[in-house]
Amino acid sequence: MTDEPSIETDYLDAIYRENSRELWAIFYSQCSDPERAYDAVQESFLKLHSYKGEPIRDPRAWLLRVGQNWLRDVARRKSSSCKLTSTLDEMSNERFAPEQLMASDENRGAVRGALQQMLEDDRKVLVMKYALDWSSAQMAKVMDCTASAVDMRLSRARRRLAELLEEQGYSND
Amino acid sequence: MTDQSNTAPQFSNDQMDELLHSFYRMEVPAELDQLPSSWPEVNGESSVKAQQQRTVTLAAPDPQAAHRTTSAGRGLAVAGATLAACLMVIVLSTAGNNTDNTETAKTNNKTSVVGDSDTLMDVHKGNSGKGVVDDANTTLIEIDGVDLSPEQKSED
Repeated sequence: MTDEPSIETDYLDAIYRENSRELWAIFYSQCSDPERAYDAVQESFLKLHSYKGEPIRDPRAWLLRVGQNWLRDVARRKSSSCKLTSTLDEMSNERFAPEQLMASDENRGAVRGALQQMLEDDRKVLVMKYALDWSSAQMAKVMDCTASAVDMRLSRARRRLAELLEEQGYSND
Repeated sequence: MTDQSNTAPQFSNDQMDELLHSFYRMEVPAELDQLPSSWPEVNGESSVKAQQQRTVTLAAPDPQAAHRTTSAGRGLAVAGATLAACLMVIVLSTAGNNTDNTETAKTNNKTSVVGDSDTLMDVHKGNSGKGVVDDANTTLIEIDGVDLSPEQKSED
C-alpha cells in the first residue's frame, strides 16, 4: 500500500472542497447547531464514499439530500437538542462589543436561540452572507430567486434578529 | 422586557454586520477544512494501520505477565481437575448408597408383606370353623365331640 490517496479519494476531496462549506451553512441554518451541521456534512460525504449505486449526476444535490435526511433522523431521535439552547436574558444589558461578546459560549448560544426563532430562509441568507461571504448573486442562484429578493430577505433577517436581541434587553449602547 | 430596551435605539446595519460576522466566524468548525482523505473512516490505510497497532499491542504483552498468566492457568486447571474428581467420587458414592438403600427397602417391603400375609392367614385359619388347633390336625369340632367324663368301668 502507498500513502497516495486513491482516485476515488481525490474525487471525494474535490467535491468536498467545492461543496462542504455551503452544505455546512445550509445544514446549520436548519439545525442551528454548528457541530451537528458538520456531522451532517461528514455523514453525507461518508455515504458518498461508500456509495455503489447508479452514477450520481448532481453530487451537491445528492449530498444535500443525504445530509438533510440525516439531520431529520437525528432531530426525530433527539428532538430537544434542536430547540432553543438558551434565552437572550443571559446577555441582557451587556455593552455592545461583538468580538468580546461572541467569544462567550453562552452568548453565542443566545444568538443561536434568537436565530432559531426566525424563518429558515432568513437563517439561510444570514449564514451564506456571514459565514460563507457569498454575494447576493450566488445566494440567488442557490435559493432560486433574484439577487434583489435576496437583498430584501437579508435586510429583513438582520432587522428581525436585531429586534429579537432588543426584546431581550440587548442594546447597542 | 425593560424600559431601557424599549427606548434603546435600533442596531445599525454596521453593528449587525459586525455582530453577525463575529458570530458566524466562531460558529464555523475548524474541522470543516479537513479533507475527507484525512478522515480515518475514508482513509482505509490509516484505520488498518491503527488496527494493526492495536492488534500488536494486544498480541505482545510483557513476558512476566505471560508467565503469571500461565502459572495461574495451570493452578486453575489443577484445582479444577481435583474438584471434578472429588465431585465424581461424591456422586458415585451417593449413587451407590441410593442403590443399596433402594434394595434394602425393597427387601423390607417384601418381608413385611410376607409376614403380614402369614399372620393374617393364621388368624383366619384360627377363626374358621374348620381350623386346625394342634400338630395332630385335631379340629375344634373334634375337640367338642370329645367326652370328657371319666370312663366308667362296667363291673359287668
